[in-house]
Amino acid sequence: MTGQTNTKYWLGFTLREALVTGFSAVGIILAQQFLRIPMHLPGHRLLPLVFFLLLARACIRACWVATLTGFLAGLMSLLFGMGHAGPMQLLSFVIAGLIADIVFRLLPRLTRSVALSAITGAFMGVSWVLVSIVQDRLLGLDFSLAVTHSLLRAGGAMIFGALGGAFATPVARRMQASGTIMPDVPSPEVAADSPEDRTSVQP
Amino acid sequence: MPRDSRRGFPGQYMARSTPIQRLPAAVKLCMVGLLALADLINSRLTAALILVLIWFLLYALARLGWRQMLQDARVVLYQAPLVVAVLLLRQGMAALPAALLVSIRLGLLCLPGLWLQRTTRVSDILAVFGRFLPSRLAFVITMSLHFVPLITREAREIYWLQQLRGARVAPRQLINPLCWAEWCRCLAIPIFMRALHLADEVSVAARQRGIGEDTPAQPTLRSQLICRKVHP
Repeated sequence: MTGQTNTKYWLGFTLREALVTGFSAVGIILAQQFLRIPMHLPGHRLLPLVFFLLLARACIRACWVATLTGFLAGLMSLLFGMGHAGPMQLLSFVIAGLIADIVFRLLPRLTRSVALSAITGAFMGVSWVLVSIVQDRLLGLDFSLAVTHSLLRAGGAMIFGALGGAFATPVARRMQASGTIMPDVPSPEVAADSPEDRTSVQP
Repeated sequence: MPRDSRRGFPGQYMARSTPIQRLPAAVKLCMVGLLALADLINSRLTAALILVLIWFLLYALARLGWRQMLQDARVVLYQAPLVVAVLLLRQGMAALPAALLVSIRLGLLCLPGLWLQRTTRVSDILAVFGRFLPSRLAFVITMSLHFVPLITREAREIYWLQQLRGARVAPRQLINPLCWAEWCRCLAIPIFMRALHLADEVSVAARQRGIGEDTPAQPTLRSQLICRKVHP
């Protein structure tokens, strides 16, 4: 079965990996729909985004998983009008995924450490400031005002991003411990046995 | 049952027999795109008010009532107080018209999506996107959305089972940060594991049907035997 399911399906991902990223993207969208309830907490939407992006990153060992998850979530929110920022939503999701992937490449034990995940989540929150500035400028706000407005939201986004990262780690750890997903850094024997098996989801 | 679920939610599809609902999804998508673009390009209050009137008209033509309109408006205008407060703090009362304009434009940027969801079935929108998205990407998106009700049902079952065994996962209990770890352990992990297993099952089923393969799937021995029985 492994040989059959490891056939590349799309962009170098197997069908199973693509579906896991799809489900993670749907999780982001559903959580964001739920968080449409006005809580008057700027940046609270980053919590599920960071949580699902890091969890997808932990589940699949392929490159650019978080970016693909962010792209799919952004595309779905664009297709179904679930986003508040239109095309900028897609950009912000992809940038957040890109940060998760880059940090994971630099620090492969990212999803094992609560502190590292929290810091990555906070970085993902900061990335939203840039997108927010571009959006405000497009809507005609003065640059300094756009920066002020975005920075007001950035504090909350960083806190919620860090929380999302901190929540993702215990879930990923528990799933690794139960054998549902493989550890982030495989042992040399495992890596030598299956050089082509990049998916960490156990069949 | 919670009050909000009885009254519906923002962007909920409303089945009505109106010309708007009967319009092809592609036409509605173009309309929505054009109106959002008009909102982005425009920088005058009068033009923004005209756009607001157009949206009122579109909601009325789709026979969407005040309740639906207010539900959607509440969602799109939640940023308005923040924008108005920032502008008033920086520039004083003179900035009020500008603050209102930006708030209206922010709202008008988000409203098209909600109106589209209100008036168009998800399957119709997917059919439109299936025309220009890569077929494999469209399949992944369709499958992910198709299994949302199943995952939701399983999530609900897991939630009630965990409640029955005394786990502190109710929304009211989540106010206490000490319960967050329990929420992760009792809800997030089982739901995510279920989603992973579902992805496994779907991918195996799809492979057996030849989806994603360059060559079509070979008939199984069982199906060959059935064919021989039917057409000896």
